[in-house]
Amino acid sequence: MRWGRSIIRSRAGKTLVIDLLVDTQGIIRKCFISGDFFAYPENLINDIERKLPGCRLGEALIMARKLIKDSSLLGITLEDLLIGLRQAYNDAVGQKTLDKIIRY
Amino acid sequence: MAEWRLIVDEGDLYWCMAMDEAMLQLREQGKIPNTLRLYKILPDGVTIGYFQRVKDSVNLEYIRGHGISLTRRITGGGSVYHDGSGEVTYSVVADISDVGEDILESYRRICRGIVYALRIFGVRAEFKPINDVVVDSKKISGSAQTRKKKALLQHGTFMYATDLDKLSQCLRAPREKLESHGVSSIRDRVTTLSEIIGRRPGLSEVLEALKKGFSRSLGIELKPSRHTKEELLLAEKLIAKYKDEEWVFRK
Repeated sequence: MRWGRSIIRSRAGKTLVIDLLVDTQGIIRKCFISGDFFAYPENLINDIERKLPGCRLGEALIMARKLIKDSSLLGITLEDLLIGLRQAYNDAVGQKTLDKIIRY
Repeated sequence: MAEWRLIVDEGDLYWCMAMDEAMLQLREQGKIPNTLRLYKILPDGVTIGYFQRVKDSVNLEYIRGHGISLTRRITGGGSVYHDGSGEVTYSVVADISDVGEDILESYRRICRGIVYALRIFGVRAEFKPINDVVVDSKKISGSAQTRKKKALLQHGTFMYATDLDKLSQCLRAPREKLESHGVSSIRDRVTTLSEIIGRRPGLSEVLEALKKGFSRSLGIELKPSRHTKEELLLAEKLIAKYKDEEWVFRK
């Protein structure tokens, strides 16, 4: 098991930090999404942190996207969050993130 | 012109944050009117944003070594140093419909109160989205807002004579953040009213300016008032949360 971290500086000037603990099977075990951004409602971020453990990267990205849908992020974007998740995951499993811009 | 309640008070960090939350809950339930609260936090304290991790956002060793209180806010945003003898904290608790449905617009409208207050001192300040007021691109005030279904709480700082060396000792910003601001330390990114005008304004002068500034930006008339019994009771109950390590060190 290893921790991975990503730090994203958003265009709006806010910081998004994602810490993921990923086990040897590639499954997320713990997740912290932190920073000086805003989210309405706030507990949405807690929901993501709670629901990502148990997921692999692909499932995690779909889950995060789904959960964000009905809320407003301010200072960061959904893209920032998805890129951050991917970078933190890759950091944990020791891979480089080649594609910085992910489109869905 | 709509009449809002004005409350001027002071207290320790935990009580002050508990009171802001109590007011938000009671405004949501329609039990108190729209309110502007201006307060001093004594002794000095540090708050971190709802989503922040303690170790990334403050210098815990320094804070603990200097008897500075620490808690987590219910609002997002960044870490704040509340200097009891050089900073006034404001909170606006109101119906969303009275301030603005659009979140960014409501930040702008409330923060304009700070801009107007500074203008009274002859200082040209501007709102810097999302949540800052700056003078010559240095931050003099930061704000954070949370919303329930009907009500919002926005609280923020007005640094009239904050000890900026102490502020930069207490707070920690990721290196990435400072680099994108083009400066090397937190100290270089912030300023105070006294630094700008070259004299230390009195607290009553500051309070008067803030009252005028917010009255103007919100188009309201302020009526001096006091907390209701229910507010005081609820705030008293909420103090435990703000002192709880589980809450503060949640992340």
